[in-house]
Amino acid sequence: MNSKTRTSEQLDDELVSRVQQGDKKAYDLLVIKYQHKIIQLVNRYLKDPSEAQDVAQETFIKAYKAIGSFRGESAFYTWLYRIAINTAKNYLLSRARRNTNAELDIDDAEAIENAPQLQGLETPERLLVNQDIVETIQATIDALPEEMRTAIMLREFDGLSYEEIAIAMDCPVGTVRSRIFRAREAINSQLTPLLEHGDFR
Amino acid sequence: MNNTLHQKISQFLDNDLADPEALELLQAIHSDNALNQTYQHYALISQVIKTGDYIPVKPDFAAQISARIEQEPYHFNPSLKKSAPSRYRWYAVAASVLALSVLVVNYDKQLTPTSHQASMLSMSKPTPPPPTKTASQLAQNQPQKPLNKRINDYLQAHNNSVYTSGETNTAASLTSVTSYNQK
Repeated sequence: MNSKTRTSEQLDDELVSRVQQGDKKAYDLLVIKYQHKIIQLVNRYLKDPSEAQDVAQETFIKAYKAIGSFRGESAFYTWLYRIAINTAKNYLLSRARRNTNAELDIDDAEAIENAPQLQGLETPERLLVNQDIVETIQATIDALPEEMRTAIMLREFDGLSYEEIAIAMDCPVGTVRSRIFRAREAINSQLTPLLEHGDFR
Repeated sequence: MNNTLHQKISQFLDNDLADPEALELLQAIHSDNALNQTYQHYALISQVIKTGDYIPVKPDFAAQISARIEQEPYHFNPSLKKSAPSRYRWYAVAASVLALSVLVVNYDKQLTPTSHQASMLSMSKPTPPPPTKTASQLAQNQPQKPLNKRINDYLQAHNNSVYTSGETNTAASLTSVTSYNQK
């Protein structure tokens, strides 16, 4: 475990402790910190981004209700991941049961049709915008200066730390930090108009 | 100012921000929509590079959770859950004390006849067999008589050998034999 990971866990411990003392805003910060990871994790099970968000929300609610029993024996994110996996598996089971139940009355059918999670994100227009987003990011990365592209790819694709990238690129850590940030800014400047158009803010 | 915060977001996503700064940044993201948007975009970029795909996150994802938590305040009471083990501990202590009391009382009951016998002995009176003896206890005493007889024979033989070896302290030996016979 490197020092940064330890720092991240210390921050989690601090926030969890505040939540256990009744500070709900501290839990908001934990949600902000882990929302993307939990949604991605759940989506690996469900293969449905819209449902993944609902199940991820359910995960955070369950974790909040149970956080009083969290003793810090494992890292908070490990504990949260376990809840997410269990929630996703339970959701899959209930979905399977729903699918095998042939007899749906008219009220149930209307409820499912009007369910907000089925209205939103996977329309053909959305899929088209998603494809645009992926292509824009890839095109912007290809157009980046060599040292910025290498730095961000080593970080995102290979998962290297800043220190490891500094050694690999033979430059100070501060330079790595700056290159990765500028790469993200460059991609973001291309992405923002697209995301605003697609209302993905 | 914004650039500095954006760079901190970049570092935060890479787990490169120290604890106090990370906390400040999360608070800023929580309260500043523009900063939150940048954070979402950076996270999205990271996801696309890693997986070649991305999942759009609802803009109000965290706010919805926050609202639901506000609606369900009664569910959360960590101190109550923490106190549960100590309550069980008190039950265990109470049960142990109870069990110990029962043992002490039983032990005391067992001790009472013995102490009675001890007081009888201390009065140096001849002790008739206790009336509480059972038939089985008496039966157990019967086989001891032949053994006593054998030991008595041995002691008398020993006394004879004492006579022949010329020892003078024969009276004590005779006394012990006599007293043993009385038993």
